[in-house]
Amino acid sequence: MTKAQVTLNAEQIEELNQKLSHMRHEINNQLSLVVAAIELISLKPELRQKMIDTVTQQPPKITAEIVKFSKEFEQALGIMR
Amino acid sequence: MASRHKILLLDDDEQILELYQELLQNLPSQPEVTVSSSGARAIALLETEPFTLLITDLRMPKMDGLQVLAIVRRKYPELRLIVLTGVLDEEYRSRAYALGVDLFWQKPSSSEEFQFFKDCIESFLGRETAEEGGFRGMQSKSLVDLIQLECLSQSSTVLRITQGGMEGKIWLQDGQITDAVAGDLNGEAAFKEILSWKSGSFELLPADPTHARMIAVSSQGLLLDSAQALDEGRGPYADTPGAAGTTPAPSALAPLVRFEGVDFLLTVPPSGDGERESWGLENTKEVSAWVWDTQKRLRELGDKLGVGGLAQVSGFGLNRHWAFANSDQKGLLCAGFRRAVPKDKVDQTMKLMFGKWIS
Repeated sequence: MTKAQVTLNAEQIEELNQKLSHMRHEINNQLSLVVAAIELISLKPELRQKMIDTVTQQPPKITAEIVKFSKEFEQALGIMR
Repeated sequence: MASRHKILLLDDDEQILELYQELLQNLPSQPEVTVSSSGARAIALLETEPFTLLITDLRMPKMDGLQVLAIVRRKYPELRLIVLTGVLDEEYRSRAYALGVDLFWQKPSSSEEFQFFKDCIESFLGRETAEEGGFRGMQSKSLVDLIQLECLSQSSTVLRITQGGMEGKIWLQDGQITDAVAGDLNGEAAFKEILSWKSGSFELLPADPTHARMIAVSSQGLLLDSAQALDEGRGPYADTPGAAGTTPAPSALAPLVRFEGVDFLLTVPPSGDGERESWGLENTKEVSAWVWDTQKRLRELGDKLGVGGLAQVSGFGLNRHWAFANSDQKGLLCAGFRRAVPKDKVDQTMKLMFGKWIS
């Protein structure tokens, strides 16, 4: 990790904010899919297996979104690991 | 209405489309749900068949939701519009409302929210049928509608409303009305004052979760009260839970109800007993006993001081003002006024009302 001070200009901050907002949007999308899928299981038990698949697909997508943003964040701040 | 409602669902995520289609089709009113993953296709679909409701996401590649909304609003003023988005964004929300969107929802991410969402869509479809031939296609919604929608969608925001030189603010937190200010009024009184404004403009400001909650009653109750008060259509100060929704005023009081800022009215016969008439009061007995007793004491005091007969008494309180005046023939007329009414106006209105009453 670098000890040097990092300064971001307004543009960079705005860019990060956009990315953060995108991540929030995506994650909420995935969470809402989980909720909707669970709703459907109680409504239509015959869709159960399909819905379980849908639910299990979401956590990796959420993780991927967070990883993606973290990388962009680290890059912007010049954090090295 | 025999035909089923038709919903068009627009989202760039196929999985969302698939799931929400299934869920919406299973609503009690069993709407027909068509889906589209692109704005262009949605617009093409709207051209070929009539829909009741368009539900759309905002952030989509190519044609974004706002563009679709702008086109659709112009072309199909009767179509109801609901935005269903991933994240609530104040800027987007203001723009969507400016385009005449009926409802702004964040995609439900909890079971509770989901229930709200379903209830909301269902009541929306129900309302559509009920309002057939009424205010359909009306683009500019009333403030009550707007607040109701914000409450239904569990929003947090601060609404700034301006009318002429007046400015009011309403705080909403998770769909609950938490506070309001208008001039020197605050809390419920301010909320009702703002809702009584017939026109004006509004903007949505970012939510302020640290703002202290000053309104404890349920938002639905408050909106209902206010809507009823508005229906009574009693001028700029019209409101008050006491007066709202009660039976019409007795004939002798009816002409007085129209005076600005009047909250309640009460008459006591000259003897202090017998038939009292009141409007907007729940505790007529207590208030008339108090008014009678008060005028008696003041009269005694007047006699002692030798200052002549009692004409009119006014009192100014934190929650409301009141005044009463005495006529030897007809008895006492007592009126309550909203706190927003200036003091000199209370005296003046009371004189006018009294004049009308004894004539």
